[in-house]
Amino acid sequence: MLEITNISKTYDNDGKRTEAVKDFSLSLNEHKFIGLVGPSGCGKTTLLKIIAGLIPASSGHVILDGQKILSPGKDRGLVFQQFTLFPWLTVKENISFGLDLQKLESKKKTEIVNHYLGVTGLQDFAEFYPKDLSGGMQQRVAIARTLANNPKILLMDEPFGSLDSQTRSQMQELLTKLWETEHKTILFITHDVGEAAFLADVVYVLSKRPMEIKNKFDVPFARPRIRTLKNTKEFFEFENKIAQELEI
Amino acid sequence: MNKHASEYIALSFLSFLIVLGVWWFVTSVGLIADFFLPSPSAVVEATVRLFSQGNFISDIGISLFRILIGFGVAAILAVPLGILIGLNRRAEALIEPVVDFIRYTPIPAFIPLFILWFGIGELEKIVVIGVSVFFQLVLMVSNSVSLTPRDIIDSARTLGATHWHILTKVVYPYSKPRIFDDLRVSMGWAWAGLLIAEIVGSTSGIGFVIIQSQRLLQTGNVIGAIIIVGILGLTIDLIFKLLYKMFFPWAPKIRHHA
Repeated sequence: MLEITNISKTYDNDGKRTEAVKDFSLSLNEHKFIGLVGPSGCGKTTLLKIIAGLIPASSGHVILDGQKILSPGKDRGLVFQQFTLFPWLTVKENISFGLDLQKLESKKKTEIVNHYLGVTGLQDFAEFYPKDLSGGMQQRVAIARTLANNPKILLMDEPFGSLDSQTRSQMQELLTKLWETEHKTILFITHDVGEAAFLADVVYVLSKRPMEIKNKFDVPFARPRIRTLKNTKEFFEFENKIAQELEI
Repeated sequence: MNKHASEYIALSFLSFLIVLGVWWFVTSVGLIADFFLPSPSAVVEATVRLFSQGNFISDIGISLFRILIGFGVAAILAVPLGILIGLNRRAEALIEPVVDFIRYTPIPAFIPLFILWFGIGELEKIVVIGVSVFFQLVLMVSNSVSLTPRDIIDSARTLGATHWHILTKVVYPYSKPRIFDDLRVSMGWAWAGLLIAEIVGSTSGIGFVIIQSQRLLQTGNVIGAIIIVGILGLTIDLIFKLLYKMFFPWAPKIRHHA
């Protein structure tokens, strides 16, 4: 459904050219949870922003369901690492931001908003402003806001990178649960190997700049996945295998 | 109120008390002649006399009216223009250099010209106040608008926002508290413009009372009127701060150093 073909991105900084991404190709199937693992600064975020349509590629193209991507659109939801909620809107209003733009019928809107307040466990915080929420809760709102818009694909750029480790693992569990019920196509970027192994169906290991695919791993663990999976020997061995690939 | 806040208030009162104490001391031991600096009690008496005799209250009224109109007109013009400059690089290139040039030229330099063009009536006062506020405010607003985080705008774009949505549903609401605070800060410029205009050429207003009292060697009235200006300014500032809290419960606390 998503075809990334020969994407390159070159930045020009005061005459110094940096190649962030070079001839990158990848093809994704529908309803899969894809993890991309790569070292910090390898160009993962650049790739995601190109798919989102926020920045243009220097060459190559991305096609989603037969449509060439030229600009941002609500068919590609993006969750950032930084907290990007709209501070002047309550949790409820943040979640319905995209729906408000579509001028959806208000009964339908309330239904969708309430659904996502429910699945992210935010019912009791519907009227809160972002500044009164913890980082983990803010990211839950950001995920709910993106899902409420019903994108074809959900792009996630280290969404739990700014959270403490306990919150992080809670959020991972929440996201797997969400995925197991909603079956969205998700492209998830992280530099945390364990996170990718726990969440994804397929993990791609990326190289340093210019970014290339080094290897692909099919994740062997059955769903539903729960936190204790991370304590098993199999998980530990699988995680190690990916980590070794990453270090080479 | 927490301990920190009450300490803050106590300290601000203390600073007033110190000034008052020094003032009282130098006048009571006769270090400075009454003519140059009357004692605090003499100033209080003079101020009370100002209020009970003559037209001081209507002078305050006319000054407040001029501020309201001059500041209001400047704000209505400056806020949209500031937003435009803050968002659009072409508009910035086109407008900002001119605005900067005028902004760095002290307003008193324009007053003879304005009197020549508009006389010494209400229009001239309002123009002086308006010009004092407008050029400062345009740049403050444009700066405030440009502080909208890229990631928030990008988030909105991936949620399906058009350019118009970005302006009306993201940048404007995000910047509103800052713009409101810009208005508060630029109110100070309105008072400066008002006083200059009233001192240089006027037959009414607080500035007129000040220059008139100086001509009649009534130093107590001069100081009394200045203190009234200070109290009015502080009150308006406080009203702005209270409205800020009321309008923007979601926003970070007001900036302190402005």
